[in-house]
Amino acid sequence: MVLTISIFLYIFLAGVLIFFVYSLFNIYHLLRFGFLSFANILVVLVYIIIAASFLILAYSVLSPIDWSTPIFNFQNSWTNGFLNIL
Amino acid sequence: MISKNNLSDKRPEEKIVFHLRRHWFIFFKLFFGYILLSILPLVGFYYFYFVYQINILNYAGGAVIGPFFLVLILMYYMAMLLFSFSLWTDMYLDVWTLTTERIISREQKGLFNRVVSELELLRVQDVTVEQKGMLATFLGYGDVYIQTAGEKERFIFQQIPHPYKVAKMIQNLDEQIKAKNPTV
Repeated sequence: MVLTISIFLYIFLAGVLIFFVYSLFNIYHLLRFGFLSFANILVVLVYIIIAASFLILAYSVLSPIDWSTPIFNFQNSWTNGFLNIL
Repeated sequence: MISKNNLSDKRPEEKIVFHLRRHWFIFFKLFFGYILLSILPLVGFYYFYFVYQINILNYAGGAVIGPFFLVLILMYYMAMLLFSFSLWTDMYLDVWTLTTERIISREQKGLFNRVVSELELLRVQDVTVEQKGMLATFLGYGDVYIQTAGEKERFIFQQIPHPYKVAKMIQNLDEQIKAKNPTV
């Protein structure tokens, strides 16, 4: 069994999912219960722009990485040999 | 969205006097904490680079450690961004509205807990102002406690600007409404 660094990517994607859901909850609350004012709409728009820019930046720095690089190769490790002895 | 100049259950002769939020410094103080936490990794990087001549990026350039380090940094900044926005939401949605007849309190306590309560000005017995600390005194913010006639717990306007002026206005409105309804 080979454990690759893609596990870091899956952890990051889980984080992005939480970030996305919580951002939506915040925006919903501001739009539902906030005042109909320029400041409120501006803050929501600025946040959406910053969050989208951040996710685009994250994609651009993470996409060139080879996520198939192994962290551990259990077939070659001493644990496998140890298990074979058992 | 809620209209600033209208209430969903507005009474025939009721007028909105003002809406109140916490003083800007309260948000700024907490937001500044997130700014400090956001620049902390950069400070660490420059500290190691200029004091010890160690470039952390060289250590993080490995095929395994590099992506791990990158994901960690990205998740850290993502959390900072989300916490800052949640802080804004929490502060912005705490609003106290004073009308000519009542006080309406809308408080957001976390993301899934919203408390809306109201108090008739006729039931107001006592208004107390509390300004605690040097910053509150210099910047002019404080708490206003409104005690009612009933057993209901007292209303609190927390960390609002110009608390003395607000207390005076509540007392004036209270006197006006009691003069109009002498039997109550």
